[in-house]
Amino acid sequence: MKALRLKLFQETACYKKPFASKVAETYPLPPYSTVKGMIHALLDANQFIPMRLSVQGTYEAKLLDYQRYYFFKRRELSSFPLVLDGLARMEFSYDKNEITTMPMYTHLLHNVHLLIHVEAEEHILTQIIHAIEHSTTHYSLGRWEDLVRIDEYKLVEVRELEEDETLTLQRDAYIPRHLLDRETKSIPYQLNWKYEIVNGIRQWEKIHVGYVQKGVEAPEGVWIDEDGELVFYHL
Amino acid sequence: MAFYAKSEGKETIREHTDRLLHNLNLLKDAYGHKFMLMDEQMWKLLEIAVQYHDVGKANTVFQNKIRQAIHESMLETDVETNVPHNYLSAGCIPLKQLDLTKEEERLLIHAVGYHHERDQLPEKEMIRHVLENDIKQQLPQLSEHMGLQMTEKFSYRFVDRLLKRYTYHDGEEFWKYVMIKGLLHRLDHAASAHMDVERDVEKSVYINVNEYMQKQGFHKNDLQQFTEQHHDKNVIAIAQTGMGKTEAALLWIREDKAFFTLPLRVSINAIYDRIKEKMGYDAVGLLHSTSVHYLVDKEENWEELKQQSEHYAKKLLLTTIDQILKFPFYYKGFEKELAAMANAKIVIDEIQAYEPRIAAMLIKALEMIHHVGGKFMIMTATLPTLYLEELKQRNVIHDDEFVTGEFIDTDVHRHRICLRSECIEETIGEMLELGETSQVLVIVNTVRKAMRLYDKFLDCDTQVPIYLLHSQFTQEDRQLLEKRIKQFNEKNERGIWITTQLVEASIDIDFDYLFTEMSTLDSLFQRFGRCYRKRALDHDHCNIHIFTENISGIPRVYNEHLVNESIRLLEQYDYQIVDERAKVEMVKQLYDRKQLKGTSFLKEFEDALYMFDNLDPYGMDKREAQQKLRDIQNIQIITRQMYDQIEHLFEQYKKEKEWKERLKLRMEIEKKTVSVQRYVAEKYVSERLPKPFDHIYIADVQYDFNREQLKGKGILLDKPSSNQY
Repeated sequence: MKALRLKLFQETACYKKPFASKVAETYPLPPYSTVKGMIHALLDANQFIPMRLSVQGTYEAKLLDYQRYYFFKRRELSSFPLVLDGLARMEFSYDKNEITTMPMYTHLLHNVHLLIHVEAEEHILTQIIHAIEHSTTHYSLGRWEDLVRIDEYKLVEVRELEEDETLTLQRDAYIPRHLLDRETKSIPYQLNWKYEIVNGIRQWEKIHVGYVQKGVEAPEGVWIDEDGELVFYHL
Repeated sequence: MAFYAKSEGKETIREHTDRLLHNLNLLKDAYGHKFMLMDEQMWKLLEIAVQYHDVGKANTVFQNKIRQAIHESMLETDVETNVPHNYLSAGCIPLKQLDLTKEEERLLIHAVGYHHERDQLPEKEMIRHVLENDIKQQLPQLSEHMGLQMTEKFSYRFVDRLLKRYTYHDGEEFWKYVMIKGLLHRLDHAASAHMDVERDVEKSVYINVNEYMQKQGFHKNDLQQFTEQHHDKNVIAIAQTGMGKTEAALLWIREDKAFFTLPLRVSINAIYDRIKEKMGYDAVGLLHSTSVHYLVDKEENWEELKQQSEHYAKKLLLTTIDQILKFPFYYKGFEKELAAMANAKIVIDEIQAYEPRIAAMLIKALEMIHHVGGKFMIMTATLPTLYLEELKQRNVIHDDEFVTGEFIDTDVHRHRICLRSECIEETIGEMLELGETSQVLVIVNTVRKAMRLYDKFLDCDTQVPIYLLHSQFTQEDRQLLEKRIKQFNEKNERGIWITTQLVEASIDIDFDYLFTEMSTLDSLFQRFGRCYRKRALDHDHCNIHIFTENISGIPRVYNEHLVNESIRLLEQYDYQIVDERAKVEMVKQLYDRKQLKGTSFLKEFEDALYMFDNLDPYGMDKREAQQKLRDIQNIQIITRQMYDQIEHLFEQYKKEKEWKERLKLRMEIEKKTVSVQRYVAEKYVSERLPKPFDHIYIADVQYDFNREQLKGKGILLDKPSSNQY
């Protein structure tokens, strides 16, 4: 099967965990929903496009940032600029009943290198490539301000790893739980994938994965692309 | 080409492995049916583990180390990385060809990979380096040397698998792992010592104990019949001292392998003598921290005995709990001790003598023993209700595999007590008067108090012989005193012995009067046992006087709440006979969970259990676990003066190469030390001796003992030695 392989770089990133409301904690790698979101944004899609993903990567360090966060008390608000810096002579005040602020620690990953495989129908992959080549805006993954540099995009052939082949992980990776040995050391996460809206609230479909660190042998039943990069599809 | 496993005797890997296989067959033939968790497949796994456990020694760095030691030419190699052989061995196993389940593979990898426990964790890149660049070239020769198939292609998944160690959260798999790894340890250690892993398998203590009892004209009493009858069950027997508990335990053990534990080394030595000499049973071993000293004095073949005891090869091993039952700490290598329990019976005598923390460890140990299929028997004069409940709650004792019995002889009245609300020092005159015509035993709660009392007696102008015995004499002097008190008792001499709880259980004596400070009931009743031990009371006076004012050792030695409750419970017996039934009932009440609510006793017990239930496995090594057990107890000190006198022994020790001579010197040195409670000693200790004597501290204090007259106070902690110079 063909897949689109993306090599991405971010200087900073915060893939914030849901409900991390006192400290903005980050996942060690972007969860599937975040990657899916970026691709959908690239495609300017207004409905879900079936695809499966593999997410791997490394980061150099973890930082702490102290930031002002805005909290919205109501669903409907009058519009206001989120970023005030750089807006010349613009006086802005907001209604304390609508918005409140609090300084919060934000965990940031520094110098993040990602390797992402996207498997979808071939015309979708072509569309993504087209969007990358012709986009008029910058890309970001996670927070809007965490820019993404696309270092490589390439269509690659992906096949299943042979039974007697063993390969060592070169990057940290999310590996779906059903592929993992009980004995492989991993940190369990339940990652968001896609949602349905039920009674006005997003109901997320969760993917059980283990975060496995580089240096570990790849488990059986995973995939490999034509350049020898491991692939761990989440579905 | 030869691959060496050991420099001693130039033993090859194959030869060493064959020794393990020999032991494996021996163990399986002898006790195969006793191992609950070992089915044919498990034995097969163990055999594979044995075959491959040392193949990693083929690496050139290791081979060259041995070659250097045995003066053979070095092998050439580019690889200089030193990777522990156990990790390399695990990588050579041809898992693909063995056709095992994932679980079985994991058992095998962990047993082989950790058959030595290292501080150095397995590192994949180093292991890869050595396997690819060194072992790989040797594989054909190694395969030929071992007569074994080796892996065709190295896979490094085993390193990942090794990094995730077994814990009790693995359920049944964990207990299987304990068996495979623990038995591999046993086979390996025995093979390295060139000895059989099990000895005297066919020698049944049952025959000896029966013959002995017949010869002595003893009939089996209720207790003994009970234990004999229930030899296939877990047993809890509550029975007073002097009911032939040792025989009862041996009758329960029957023809099985067994570990017999007691709290005090002295009593263990005494039972060793009894079983070995009086019963003529020679398949018995002795293992505790000073057992070597004892064996050297007694036995021609002490070295062999020592080794067989240390490797649990003896059919019956007399030992202390800190030697074999500390596996609840999950120290590195704990699997060996636990697996050794799986085919054996374990007797825990005098469980009431352990403090709550240690009792908690014992209860956890019994729970674990139960999991691997061992059987146990608890014998005690009084069993705190609390412990029994805990065992029940943990499902260690079920109705169908467990029996409990109380054996209380109320026919003989031996003790009439008198509670006296005064301080023991106020009745010196009374004691002296009795001392003129009879044997008077005085027991106080602390050494300090014993010394003070001794001083007061010496101030009196009296002809009555006064002796002092407590724990703070040097080991050799203490031995003299212990011998002397027995002799005094046997020869029916007149006089007074001032002692501490030291004599509670360890020394077999029978005095006419007991003057004692109040302590907790269990300890107090042990003291009763040193007075009118076997005789019926032949007069109407009180033979036991208990002093309840100004008691020493509270709260350091005895819990205040428990002592007060004990006094309350005893009050109804003032001037009355206290028989065995009364004792058991009182202790039951004292250690009822409801009664204990809010006490530090209960808290310590529960905290310790919680710790054992939630401990991180492999967090400490065996030595640390041992220290944790002893920590609460004592440290060894040597006085400055004594140190100066024997300094040459330390010099000699350093130079000596022969281990037997070193051991002798070591014992010579240990004999001069005094064991003192850590908190007492801390103030006086000035320096610590260098390794390997770093458990001994030098104290600048005086020591007082006259070895001819056997008089003196022992170590004088409040008298600095600088006065002498």
